[in-house]
Amino acid sequence: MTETQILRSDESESPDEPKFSGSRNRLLSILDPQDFALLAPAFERISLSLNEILLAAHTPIQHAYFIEEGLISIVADVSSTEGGRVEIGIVGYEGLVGLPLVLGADQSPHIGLVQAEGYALRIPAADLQMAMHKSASLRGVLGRFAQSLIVQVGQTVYANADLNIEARLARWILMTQDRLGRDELPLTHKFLSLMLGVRRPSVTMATQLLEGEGMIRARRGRITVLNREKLLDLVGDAYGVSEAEYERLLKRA
Amino acid sequence: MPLFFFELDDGLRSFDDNEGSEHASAEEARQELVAALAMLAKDELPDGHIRDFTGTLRDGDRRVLFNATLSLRSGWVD
Repeated sequence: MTETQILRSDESESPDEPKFSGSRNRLLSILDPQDFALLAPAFERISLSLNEILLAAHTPIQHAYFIEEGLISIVADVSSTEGGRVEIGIVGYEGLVGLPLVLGADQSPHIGLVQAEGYALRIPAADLQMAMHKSASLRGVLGRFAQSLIVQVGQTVYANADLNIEARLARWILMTQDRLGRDELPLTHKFLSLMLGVRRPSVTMATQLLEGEGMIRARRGRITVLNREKLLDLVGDAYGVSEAEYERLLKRA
Repeated sequence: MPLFFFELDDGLRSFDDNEGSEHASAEEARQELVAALAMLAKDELPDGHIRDFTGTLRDGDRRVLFNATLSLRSGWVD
C-alpha cells in the first residue's frame, strides 16, 4: 500500500469550464453539466498504485473514486490468508468505487483493491452525499450504476457456479480488456488465482488451454488477447448480459 | 518461499508447468495440487465411465515429491 499521490490541481484549465470537465470516467461524462458542477469543486485527481487499497473492510469510507484509468477489484476477504480472498466485482473507467456511500452506508465488509494502476477523481464522502442530496438526476445516474454492478456480481455468481475454469478465466480476461482498453493485460498467475478463487495449478492449466486454442498468449506477468471472438464463444451467455445492462442503464446523452 | 511445479492430467490432456510457483511449504503445495485435481474432476465429469485424474508435485529442481490420482470406475449394471 502506498501513499496516495495528488497529480495536479487543474487550475490551468479555462475559467469557463469546470475543473476536470474532460474526465475519461464514463459516469462523469454522462452527467448533466449542473450535476457535474456540484461534484467538481471537491474533486482531486490521484494516481492509483498497484495493490493499493482504496476501500478497507469494516472501515468508514472517506472518499469515493471515479476511476479514469486502471482496474479495481471488489474483493470479499473472508480470512486473513490469501486463499480467503475472492473477487466479486471489477470496476474501471466505467464506474465508481465507494458504492456504499451512494447507497447510504458508511462502510462495507468488502475491499477495493487496485489491480492495474491508473488514476481517478476522488471526492470526500460528505461532498458526494451533499451533491446527491441536492440532485435527483445525480442520484439517478449513480443509482443505475449501483444496479449495473449488482447485475455484474450476479453474473459472476452464475459464472462461478456454472462455468469451468477456462471459461471463467476467459470471462475475466474479456472484462479486464473492456476496462483497460488494450490487448496486453498485466495479469500474473498468482493474481489470477486470487481473483478467480481457484488454485494455482488450475490457473496454469486454464491458461494453457486458452493459449492452445490461440485465444491468448501468456508470458510471465502478462496475458495478451489474440482472439477476442474465440474467448466470447467459449464464455457464451455468461458474458454480455451485465455489459448490455450497463449500456442500457447508462446511455450516453 | 520455495518453488514448486505442478503437472495435471485428465486422462485426455496433460498440462505442464513451465513457470512454477512459490508456496510456503511442500504441504501447502500438496494442498494446491489435490484441490486443483478435485476441481479438474468436477469440471470434466460426468464425461466418461472410467477416468483417471492425476497430478504430480515437483520441487524447484523438478524432483517428484508427491503423486495423486483421482479415479472414477463406473458402469451400468446389465
